[in-house]
Amino acid sequence: MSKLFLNFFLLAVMIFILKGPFEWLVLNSVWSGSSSDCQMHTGACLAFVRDKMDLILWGTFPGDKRILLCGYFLSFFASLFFFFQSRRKIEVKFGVLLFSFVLESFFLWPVSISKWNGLLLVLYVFKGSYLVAFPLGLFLAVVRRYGKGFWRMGSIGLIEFVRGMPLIGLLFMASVMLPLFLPVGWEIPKIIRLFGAYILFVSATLAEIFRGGLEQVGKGQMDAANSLGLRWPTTLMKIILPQAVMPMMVPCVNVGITLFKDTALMGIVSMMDLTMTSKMALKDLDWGGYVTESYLFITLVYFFFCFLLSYLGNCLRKRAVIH
Amino acid sequence: MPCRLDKHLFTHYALPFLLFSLFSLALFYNLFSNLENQGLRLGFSFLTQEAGFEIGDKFFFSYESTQSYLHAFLIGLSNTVMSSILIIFFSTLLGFILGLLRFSSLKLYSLFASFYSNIFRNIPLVIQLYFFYHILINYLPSARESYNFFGLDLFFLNNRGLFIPRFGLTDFSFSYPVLEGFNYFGGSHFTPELIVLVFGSSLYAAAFISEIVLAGLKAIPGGQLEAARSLGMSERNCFSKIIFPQSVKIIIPPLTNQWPSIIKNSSLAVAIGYPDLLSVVNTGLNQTGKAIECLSLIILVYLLLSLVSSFFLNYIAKKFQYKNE
Repeated sequence: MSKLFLNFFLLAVMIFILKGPFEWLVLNSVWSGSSSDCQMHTGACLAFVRDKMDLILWGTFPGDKRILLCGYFLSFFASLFFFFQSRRKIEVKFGVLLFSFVLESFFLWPVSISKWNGLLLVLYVFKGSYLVAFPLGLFLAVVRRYGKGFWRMGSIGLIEFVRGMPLIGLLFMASVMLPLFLPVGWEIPKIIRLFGAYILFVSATLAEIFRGGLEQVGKGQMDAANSLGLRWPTTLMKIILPQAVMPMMVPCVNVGITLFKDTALMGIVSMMDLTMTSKMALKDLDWGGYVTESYLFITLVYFFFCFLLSYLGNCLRKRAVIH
Repeated sequence: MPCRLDKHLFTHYALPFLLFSLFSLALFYNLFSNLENQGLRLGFSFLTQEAGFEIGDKFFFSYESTQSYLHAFLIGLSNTVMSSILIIFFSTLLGFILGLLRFSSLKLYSLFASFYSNIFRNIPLVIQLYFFYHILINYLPSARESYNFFGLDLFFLNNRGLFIPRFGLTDFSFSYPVLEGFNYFGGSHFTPELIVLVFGSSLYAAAFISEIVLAGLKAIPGGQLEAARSLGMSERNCFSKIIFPQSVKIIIPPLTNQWPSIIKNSSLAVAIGYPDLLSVVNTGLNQTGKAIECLSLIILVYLLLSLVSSFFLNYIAKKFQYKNE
């Protein structure tokens, strides 16, 4: 009896909270038409999102070259699903990811890099920085575990420094401080500098995860390989790393999801990511400020990709449990 | 392994040291030639200059715009620390509640909690903050029509923030907010930025903490519950005396590992204009153009914060270590 009461209580609370948003988003919303149609209704103006969807997703990407985006997304999703669903070796998977990244860059080559806005920028930075950060993080972790002397100390220093900083601080450093440390006359585009910040941040996070993996590999493994007469690089590549990396794939996917969410910070250092393109769309005087609708839209976009990644990561975990 | 310093002195010590010093030498050479070209000079003397900007949230400290940059930065640091403490408190509380709901046998409740956690974990915090800030500023009523909690005329919420009564602990004074003109005066005032930061970050972090709590509760073997039941304990006692105390020891270490990331995430305050350390220093940077000095202060303070929190966490981890007696 009390269970029934508790269930009804939750239902009542949910209805009380969600009634307003539901009416606003579903019952009274306007799906098509112009600004004047929206003003006649009290609900959400989804016609605005429909009209400005292109601008929010792609920003200033030239309209006549949208066909290139088809190739980009084909390559992106194909490589993503290959990475998660294939059962090949991790080296092969990463090779395919790298190849697809180069392919995507070629697809987008005809368009100037300053016009890769919105979702395109987010996806490009996400994939590029994860691809570079993965081997770099592995390298840092191996140096931290097996390195000697100052090499080890340097690795620890770098990892702890980056992990102690908030990512937004690193982004500020990359956008404001880094140009002062470059040789006189050098100009590195801002996007590349931000890439550097993301790569550092993710590789430090991944290095900590790989360190956990490396510490799980027994010391006997190394001794056994030594007694077989294997050389140090062979031991590392064939014995240690496969045992250290494979159990850590699920945490690595979680780091990937965190990285995807962190790409939303690029707007704060005035890169044209989804938040900035939605602000650009809101400047249109014909429509007025439908801020809530545009935020809901980009929230939905981010949710779609993060949920996809966590779903694929879950599949990976289930398969790992079965094996 | 015997220490053969003579053999490895070069490869393990001298070589990395040489590389590192060459690298930093090149960086500093670039820095100084760049500064010379732009006619800038390094130096922290600007810290004693007048800051000239207002800070809305000050918690227990006083600050005027005529005071120095150093004072403003310290206010920013105290704001970071205080908002982090608030976020940690609320997110831990909410995370435990949600984790327990997910563990409960009531399907509707566990479904609700898992929906919550899946939705809030998969949306970037900064977008949630933007969204909540927009909602709070634009959809909450103005001061004259503000929400009056429980009809007590003591707690008010409007688009200028939350107003609550204040008790002076030192002089036993008591003041409560009163509407005068278009705003409330007296009592304590929490700005919308602080409310959004604490509210949004807590909701976000609670989703992660609920996962940790759920994993900790599930980690207790089923035999424990069966043994407790066979002793005739009530369901309530089974949970509060057997399951929960054991799972707390599993939950605490990963829970405390969330805290540094909460402290770091509180720097997203810069997105909604809450004057935490990063955003105050950023304002100072924009006013003075002292990029190197300001950002090295940021680095120093955040490294100190992470050092302090890691010492604290090690202490807690030792205290709650799972002893297998």
